[in-house]
Amino acid sequence: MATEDERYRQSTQFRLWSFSPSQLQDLRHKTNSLAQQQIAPRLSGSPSPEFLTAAEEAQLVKFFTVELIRAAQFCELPTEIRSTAAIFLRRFYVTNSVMTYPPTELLKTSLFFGCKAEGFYIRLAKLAEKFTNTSSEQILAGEYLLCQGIRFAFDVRHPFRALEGAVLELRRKLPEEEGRVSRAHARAREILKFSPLVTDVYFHYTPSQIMMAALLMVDAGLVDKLLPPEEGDGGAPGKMWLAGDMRNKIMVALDGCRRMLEEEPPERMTEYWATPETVKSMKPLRKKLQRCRDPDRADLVALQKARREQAVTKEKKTEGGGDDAAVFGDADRDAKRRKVDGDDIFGGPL
Amino acid sequence: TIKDEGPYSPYGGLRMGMTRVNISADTREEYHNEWLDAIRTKDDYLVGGYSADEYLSRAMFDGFAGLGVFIADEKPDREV
Repeated sequence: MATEDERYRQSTQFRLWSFSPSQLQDLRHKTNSLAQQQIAPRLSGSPSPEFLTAAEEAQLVKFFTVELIRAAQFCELPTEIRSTAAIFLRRFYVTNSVMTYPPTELLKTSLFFGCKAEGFYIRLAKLAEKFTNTSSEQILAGEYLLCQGIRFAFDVRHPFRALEGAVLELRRKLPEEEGRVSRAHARAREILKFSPLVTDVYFHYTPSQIMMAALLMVDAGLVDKLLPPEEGDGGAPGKMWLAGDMRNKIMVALDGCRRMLEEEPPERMTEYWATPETVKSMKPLRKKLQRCRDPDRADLVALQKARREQAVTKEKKTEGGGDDAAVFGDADRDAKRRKVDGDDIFGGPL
Repeated sequence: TIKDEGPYSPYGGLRMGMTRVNISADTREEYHNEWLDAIRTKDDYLVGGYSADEYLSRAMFDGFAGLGVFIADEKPDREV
């Protein structure tokens, strides 16, 4: 077993945010149905409106991811930050529904928090200035919420440096084909900047696999150079790990990843906002969202204020059951607390 | 009785070496790109102590780490 793989398995990206396709689908369905159950009693209209389906939610998240990429380009943020922010947004909406928390707000928050996570401490007021109708308070209101949503996994592994590594290796192996390697490098980078962010590949593949799949789209011959198909030449450290059916398994994975990437080639980026058909196709979804969103959580600023007030009043009161229920969302938390109170504080016996 | 713990390991058994590419001292110099050449030769980087090798090993690690990790196969039975 390669130590590199073991080290990757220790990352939060693998432990918390990697799923098989069916798992991800289950999660999204569960999130969707939970949100429906929670929102239905809160909407005043007697016949509850039609809710978004999990598939429609995924479509909306994709749309808002593209919006986030555009916003990041507008703010001239570097590639890594843009990608981290996009992944934060996507991760958040795996376990939270679009109907529960407003994606237009979370988009700016993940942009701001993506900057922080990458060690780029932009001034909050400066960022808020760039967007119309946005106060810094609005960006901050969702910050802790976002952190919870992404389960405090702030380290996102991207395939960009991986591509640099692979290109370094290719240049060493093919010194006379400089032009070909550079061309593949530029094109693969272009793909990595867009396609993996709007598809689910970050959930299903590792960064090096994503990078190799992008190379596969551009120039399959180069991938063969990196993963040489011929049998190893006696213990050279570069070949041992491809022994047995390892190479086949890797190629199958790369192929699956390539197919996902090809669904959203970088050329589609402009399509999302420049062509009237796509804009029109999003409109009914957004209208539907307007009608079925959670009325209490749409305003993050008010939500944060209510939570703060609640925290203050709770300190004064020793027994604050009825008061807590006034601010929704804590009913389930109270139930949990009561359960712990009854038991041993360290939980039941093992 | 003393348990045999194998040969002494100065890093306490932690292995950070790479098995898929060879960036030992004698092959490192074979890797070139604009950026690496700049940080190896320009005084701005040399004087400040920026390590070209560190960047190289990070790029190589990223490029080849996790190639043998198959998420769809490894995660199916875990409850989410």
